[in-house]
Amino acid sequence: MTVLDIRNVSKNFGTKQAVKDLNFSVSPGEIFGFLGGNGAGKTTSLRMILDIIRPDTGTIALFGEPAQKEQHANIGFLPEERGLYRNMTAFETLIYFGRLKNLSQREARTRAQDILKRFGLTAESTKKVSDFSKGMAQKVQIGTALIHQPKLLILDEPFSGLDPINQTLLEHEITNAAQNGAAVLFSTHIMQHAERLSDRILILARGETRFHGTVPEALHQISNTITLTTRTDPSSLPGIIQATPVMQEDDGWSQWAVTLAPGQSAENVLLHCTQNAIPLKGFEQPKPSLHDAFIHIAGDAASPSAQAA
Amino acid sequence: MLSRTSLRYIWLIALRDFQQTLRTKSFWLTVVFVPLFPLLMGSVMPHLIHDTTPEQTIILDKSGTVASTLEHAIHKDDPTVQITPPPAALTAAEPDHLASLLKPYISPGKSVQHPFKGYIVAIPAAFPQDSHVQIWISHSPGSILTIIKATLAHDMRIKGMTDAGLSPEIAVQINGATPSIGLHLPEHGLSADMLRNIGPTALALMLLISTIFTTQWLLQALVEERSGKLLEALLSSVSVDHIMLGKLLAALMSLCLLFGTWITAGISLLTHFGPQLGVEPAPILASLLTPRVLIGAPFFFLTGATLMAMIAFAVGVRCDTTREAQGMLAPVLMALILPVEILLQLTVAGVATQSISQLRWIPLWTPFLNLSQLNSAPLWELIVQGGEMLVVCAILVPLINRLFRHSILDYSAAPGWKGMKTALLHAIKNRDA
Repeated sequence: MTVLDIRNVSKNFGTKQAVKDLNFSVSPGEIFGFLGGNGAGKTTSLRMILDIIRPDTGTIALFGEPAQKEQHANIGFLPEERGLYRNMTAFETLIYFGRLKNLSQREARTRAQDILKRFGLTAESTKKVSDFSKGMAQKVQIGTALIHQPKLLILDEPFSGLDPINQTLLEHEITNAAQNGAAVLFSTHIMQHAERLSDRILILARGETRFHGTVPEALHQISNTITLTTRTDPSSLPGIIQATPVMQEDDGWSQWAVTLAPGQSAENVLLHCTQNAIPLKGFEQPKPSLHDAFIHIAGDAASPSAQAA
Repeated sequence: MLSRTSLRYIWLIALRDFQQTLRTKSFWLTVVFVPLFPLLMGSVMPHLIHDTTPEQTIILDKSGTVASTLEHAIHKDDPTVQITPPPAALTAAEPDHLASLLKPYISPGKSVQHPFKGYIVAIPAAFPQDSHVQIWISHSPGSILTIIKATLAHDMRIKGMTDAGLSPEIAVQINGATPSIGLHLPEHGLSADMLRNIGPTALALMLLISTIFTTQWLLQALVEERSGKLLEALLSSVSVDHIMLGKLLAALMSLCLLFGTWITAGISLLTHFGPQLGVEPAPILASLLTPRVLIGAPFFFLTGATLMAMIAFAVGVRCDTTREAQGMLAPVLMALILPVEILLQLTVAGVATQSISQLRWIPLWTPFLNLSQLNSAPLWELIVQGGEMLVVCAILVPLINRLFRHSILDYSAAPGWKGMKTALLHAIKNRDA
């Protein structure tokens, strides 16, 4: 059974299309990265899942049933816009949000104590949030999303504004939640986290799905490039689309940036060179990152000019 | 119908907001200070405004015939009044110069060394043939003026009648003839209208003051959640309706606590100190225990509080700072407080009932004015106006709910009344955000 199933969901704000025909699902124990630049439609999609705004078309199912407010007791949410009640203590805050997720007073107290201990905030539990540093307040906010041990954890730009220590803490909490069977859906535009954590990703650009699959599949989308150092022009080699000289070296050696045809592997090029005695001084295959894949997939929409439009 | 879970969410939100209000110093200051204020005013003000300067009367009797009679009559009325011998300058002054000489006595800060408080009576030499008596008074005329006029008139009439040939005894008898008038005043010295309205008007005044404070607290809570970016986190657990109803319930809880404390304090003060101050508690308490008040007061209390809460919601959900919210709420509060305050005073005084009767139809004022006139307004008007308030709330609550839903996460909204108008129009047109 999928925890979250989104089918053909679209949302317009006036004449602006925020989300178009969105389809994906998240299973228990899976970490799903929801990627996109600013204004791609990530927050709108998450708000629709949480029934904060309603989709114009399409269906959203939670835990195998049409989405209803009552199911929200099983959802943990960390919003992009962070905030806490300044006059409440960390302990009270955690209990309050736990109670809103249908925990009993006693259960909420026990869980709150456990989270404060886990996050190293036991000594500050009775301090008002207004007296907290930004990092401490962020930990409390993360705690409010986790206190009821949700079956679906939704995190909107969870790493933005977090210091490196809290980023590590959050990464640990995300993997921990998934290992305990929770489905995790997080939006981000920081690709390193998505690459490290995600089992599957969806790249959104201007409200449209540009890619949906695993991280290796996304990396495969990028045109394969290699760098060769040889004495002959490699553009005539089989499976090569383009070869551009990058640098002239001594004794007739030159460095070339070579673009391979789709489906062509770098190993085949190397094999062809050795079998045909083509001299090679250098052969490099740079490992592409998800950042490169994202730029390749959503590049036109993620550019500043597109975002301004 | 709200589910059990929904009721739980509403209660949790209400409880948190209520506890938040209880933690503020302003709440407890309001609870304590408002009942203390009239008590302090009642006990301290008379001492502050009490004038210890003795009242004097200077009699310049050029005729030499009525001074002793006047002195006797004035002392008989008020033995504390000092009869001061006229200064030599005044005795010697020509009648035409008296006005300029006496001006300093009645105009403070002039050449008279000590403050003068009282009357200067100048009787012409040819009195009673010349009846042109002049009186200078340093303050508003009191009972002494009546005594002076009556005494001089008596003297003139007796002289006139004896000059006409009547014996002095007959003249005194004729002059003293007065009808026997039986004077019947309302019980406790107040009119029936005043007695009926004084208790409910006190309730209306308390409701007015308490709703103003509660509206401010509700507004602060809303602005805190909006500016603190808390709403999205809340909305992941509960709905807009839960938040709105929870906050409304918290406002009502604060209002009930304030109102209950003030009523208890008011009744205690009335029963303990009322008789000492000449206020009879029984008729005031009786005016609060009529069926109309017992049924009507909770109704108009609830509708008045709901109306004010809706106004706070409409303003609070559009504002990012308390200052901005206060700026928008201030004109609404002024439009409420000033007319209602004046009309409540008129209600207690038992005047202007016609105008109040018409103004009671304006929904912003209906709960407060109707509360004050529960015992005197026609029953059909109270029932129809109660229905009118229900209709207003039935329109306003869903509309503000839509505005709330529309504006709750719209941080880019234009501030001020123009932005409010745009958002309201959008809320009317669009059911969902």
